[in-house]
Amino acid sequence: MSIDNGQLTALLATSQTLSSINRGERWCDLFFRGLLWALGCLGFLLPAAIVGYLVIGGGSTLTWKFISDFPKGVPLGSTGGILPAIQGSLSLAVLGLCIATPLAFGGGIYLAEFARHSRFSQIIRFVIECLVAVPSIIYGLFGYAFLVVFFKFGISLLAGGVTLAMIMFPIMVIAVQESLQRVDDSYREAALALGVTTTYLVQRVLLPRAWPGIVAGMVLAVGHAVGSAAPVLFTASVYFTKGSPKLADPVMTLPTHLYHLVSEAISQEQAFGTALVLVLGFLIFNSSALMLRKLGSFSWR
Amino acid sequence: MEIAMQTATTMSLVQMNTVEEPIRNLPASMQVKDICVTVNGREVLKKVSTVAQDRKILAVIGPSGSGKSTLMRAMNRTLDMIPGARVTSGNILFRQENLCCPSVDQRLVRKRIGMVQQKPVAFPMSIKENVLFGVRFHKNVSRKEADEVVEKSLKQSGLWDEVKDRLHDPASRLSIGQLQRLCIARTLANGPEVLLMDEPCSALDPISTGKIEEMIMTLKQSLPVVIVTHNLAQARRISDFCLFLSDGVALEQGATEQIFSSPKEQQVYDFVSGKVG
Repeated sequence: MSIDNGQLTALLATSQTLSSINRGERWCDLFFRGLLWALGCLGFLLPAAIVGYLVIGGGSTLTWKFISDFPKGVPLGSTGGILPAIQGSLSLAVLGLCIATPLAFGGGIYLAEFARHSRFSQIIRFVIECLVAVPSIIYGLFGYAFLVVFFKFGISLLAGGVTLAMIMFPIMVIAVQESLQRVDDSYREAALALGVTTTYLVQRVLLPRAWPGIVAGMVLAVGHAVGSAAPVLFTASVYFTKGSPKLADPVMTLPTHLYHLVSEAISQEQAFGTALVLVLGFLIFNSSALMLRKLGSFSWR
Repeated sequence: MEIAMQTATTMSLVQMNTVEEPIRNLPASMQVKDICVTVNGREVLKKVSTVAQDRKILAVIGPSGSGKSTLMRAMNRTLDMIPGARVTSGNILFRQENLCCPSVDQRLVRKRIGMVQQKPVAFPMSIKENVLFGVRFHKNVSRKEADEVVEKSLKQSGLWDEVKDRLHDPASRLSIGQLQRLCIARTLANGPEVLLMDEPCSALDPISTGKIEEMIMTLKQSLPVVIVTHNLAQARRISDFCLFLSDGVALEQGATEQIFSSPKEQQVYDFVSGKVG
């Protein structure tokens, strides 16, 4: 194709106007990038600052003895370790997960695959979203009134585990439902066209595909539930326990222990150490969940 | 009387395993009779009739949105998956049974009338398990049977030589052309009596397309094939009969050569000669 002179001049003229438009756009882009970079850094700096502060304050407290010993001293907790609190928090997390996971999978799968686009499913979804927004102290109060008093569970690991499960449940249902719905419809088409049932489709195709999203949701749910003191304050925790956690007995937990240490001004160092253990615990938990995520989805994608 | 007859014919589909053999001896041609389909009240197919003859390839051509895919979906009951879509009248006869009848088990229809979609999809499992996906649902297969089915279906779809050494690799590692042949193997492993293909080559390069066309030519020696295609040259190359759909109406149908060389309708002429679309 040949271009004569007239066309060439016209072409140059347009390219010049284009570049002058681009100059303004380029500055705007540069500014926007800079702004986003700064905000992105904030997202890193904030947690880093918190962890750094905890390490400075509690790093020296954090010894093997601290995590393997019982609280000691007068007032109790001013020296010694936090072993029962670690055990209590762990067993609450496990119990809560064991109760919430099967229920949430059932609910999420039902909403995403068996009641798709139905009015009923939209209503349930709305209610569950409301549940997520309910403050954890309300769960604590409900757990106390309903489980501890009405069902006579007493202040116990069981009551606390069930309360935590109630907090985890809505978050996990939404995670399961959303992750399943994000799986492209072409998978459903291809599978159902082979004459299989929805159950078979969910088991063999949709759940493996949705697995990473589901794990992410479960981590979020556990972090949210186990990290907060409010739900276990009235339902499961006491100031001090001896021996390993039992279902019918109350337990110590990390967040409530931290709360006691600070609110009653028992020991600043012990409080920092406890906080550090809590944060490091979540770090370990999150990274193992990340590994589980990779493991579950293998290299299928 | 008519209701009684309908139940009688659908019974055989329900109890397929016991009466399968005599039915299989009937010619496997599929007859679509005056079928009307609405989606949320809008008419998508208007009294379409056609025949997919045994051991012949029927190409369905026509502009986008003319109801080609809907027709395919109606033929193996995957139409039921679309919310708001239903067959309002007409029927589809296959081996003397009306597939549109609500009492016919849709899963059995889907197993017997296999369908290959436009977009190839790898299920999150190995190549071998992808092939066995439908088979494992429909019956318990021994290890030996499973291996046989996998080998046979992959050979039929022309993928065997390329993957026989890595059957346990994830299917997602295949190229898109290989993946489409895997999807075809997956459908064939189900043991279909008719093969429906909805634009199976639209996402593929010419070489993969060539391989699939070659495979279709082999397959047609044993069953009827219906293929939707936007590639007119492909329709002309491989099909025996052509159905031209326009706006939900079967505007013209007949032998492929006749449709391409001397169509009766002006719109068909414009379409096949490349004046429009």
